[in-house]
Amino acid sequence: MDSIQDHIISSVHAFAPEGVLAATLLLIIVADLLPATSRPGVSLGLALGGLAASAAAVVRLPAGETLIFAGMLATDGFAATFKLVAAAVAAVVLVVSYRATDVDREHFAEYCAMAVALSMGAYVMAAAANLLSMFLAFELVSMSSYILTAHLKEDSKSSEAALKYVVFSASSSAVMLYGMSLVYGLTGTLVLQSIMPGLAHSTAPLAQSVGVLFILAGLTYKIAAVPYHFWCPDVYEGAPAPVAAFLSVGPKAAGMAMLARFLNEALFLPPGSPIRAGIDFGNWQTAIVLVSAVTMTLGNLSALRQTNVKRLLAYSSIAHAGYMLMALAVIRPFGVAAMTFYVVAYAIMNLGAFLVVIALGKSMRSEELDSYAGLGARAPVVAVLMAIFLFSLAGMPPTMGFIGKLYLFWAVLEGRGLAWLAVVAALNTVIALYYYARILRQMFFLPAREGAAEIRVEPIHYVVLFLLAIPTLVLGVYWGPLWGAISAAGTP
Amino acid sequence: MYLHFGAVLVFLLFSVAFVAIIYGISALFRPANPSAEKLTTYECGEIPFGGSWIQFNLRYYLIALVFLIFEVEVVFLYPWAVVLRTIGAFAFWEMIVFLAILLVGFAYVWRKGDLSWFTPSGSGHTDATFSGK
Repeated sequence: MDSIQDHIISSVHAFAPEGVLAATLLLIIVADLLPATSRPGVSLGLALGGLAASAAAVVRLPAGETLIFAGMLATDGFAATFKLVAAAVAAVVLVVSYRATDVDREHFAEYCAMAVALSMGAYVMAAAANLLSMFLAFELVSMSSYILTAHLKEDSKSSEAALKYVVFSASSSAVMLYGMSLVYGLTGTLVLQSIMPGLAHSTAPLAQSVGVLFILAGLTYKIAAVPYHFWCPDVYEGAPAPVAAFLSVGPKAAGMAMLARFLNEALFLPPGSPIRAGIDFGNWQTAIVLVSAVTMTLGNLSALRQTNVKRLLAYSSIAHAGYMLMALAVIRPFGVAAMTFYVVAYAIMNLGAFLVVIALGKSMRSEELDSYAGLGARAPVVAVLMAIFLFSLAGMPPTMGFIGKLYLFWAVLEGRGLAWLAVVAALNTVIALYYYARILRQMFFLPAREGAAEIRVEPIHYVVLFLLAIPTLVLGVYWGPLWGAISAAGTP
Repeated sequence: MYLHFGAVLVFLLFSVAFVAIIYGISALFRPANPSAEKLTTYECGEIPFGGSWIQFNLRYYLIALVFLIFEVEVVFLYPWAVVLRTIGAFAFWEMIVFLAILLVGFAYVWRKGDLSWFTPSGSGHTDATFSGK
């Protein structure tokens, strides 16, 4: 009894980042209840303060891999990287939301509280080293995502999107939970690291495959990879634009982290390992490779015909999930580092592209592609910033997206027998260029429509746009320190 | 491995057969006097009226949710009370933190007016009957 208790108490300090976020969430709610502090600005300040404090707590944690709470969570450099990404993404989204049109200022405290809850879930997802904590974190992120999607209570599109999201997400969680129960039944363990040895001793290959595939299904839902991507365009289209921006980056990054940890600790065996399971890791590698190839192709081909910018960015985010999966199929540490680098790049450039939609939404009241016509003349600064983000998403030099893609391709070519996947990805990059260029064509080569609204952009949106555009360009020519930090953080 | 599930199969067959036999025996021996009243929905002895496919007030869900939260709280309190003496002050403060978090939620529900059946906006009496609006 005493030893368990001591272990738990000694684990608490390593849980400080999440603890800070939990306290922030409660503080936001309490502040909203008191008449004197029930203002959007107070909620925003508390949320940003909490996120900053938790990020500081992440940085202050001693480096090196340790398991806390009896192996529930791993606090390693890999988790820390993804926690910092989650905190930064949430902070950017909240700052942007403060002056966005489609966020209800009357319920801004709830909005902030849910964004903090989502970040807390993302923190735990990045660190979960046990099927149980994986599922708990997964659900925390899902539930806060539904509530954020349904944030505009009066808007039936927002409610519809949330309902679709709930139904789809609940079924994927159920499938994942069923897979976990099968794996637990076969191995008798929930700890990721003991799953492969456990599977090696079981003699039910069908149940093994089904169990692991079902868990992977839940994870591919979270990163919106084919065949679990259907929710993504509908939810992004219906959700308030800042929430769509959040969902396209925050949960996806956390899902990639959880998937990387699951693959590395539970499925992929180091070469020459004495353990041989009935189905060895090669099969899982094939599964990930196929999902990756299909995801990027389908995502890009579907994006070609979209006329709504939010839907277009949704399909583009599906395709990017495919690119990131590509590097995960490579087991060596290099693949994980390339994926992490790309997640950082994707977070910056995708938030930037969504932020342009948010910033313009205030004047244009439309998210249709043809309302962007002539933007180059109507709002040159925003149009040029959008072009930077789109070039980066397309992977053109000298942007961060290019360097990210370079590392992804490099990682894939280092993996044996995966050259064809690199070819598929290269072809996809060309397809993607076409639809990103469609937006550019609308902005720069087509005349504005009759009676097009005058564009006015909030100053704070300009500030954040520049804060995102600068790293997109700077990290495209000088990425060494970031790459060094990410590869030093190591693998899960 | 699969042989272990043989017991499950036997249990499944047995339970199906058991239900079939019981119903078969009672069908043989019971009197049969069908009447319209026997087909009505059982509502604790009340005579049912109206259809069951109605909208009812959303507030029932909120009350049910709040009730559920405190129900779960009590479930956690019981095992805590059993081991409180052996763990000591740590367990006490841990539970205080847990209760404080729930209390914030309760205060939130209260302050937002979800516990009052009279709407604070003054639009009159909230419809608490099953007729819905």
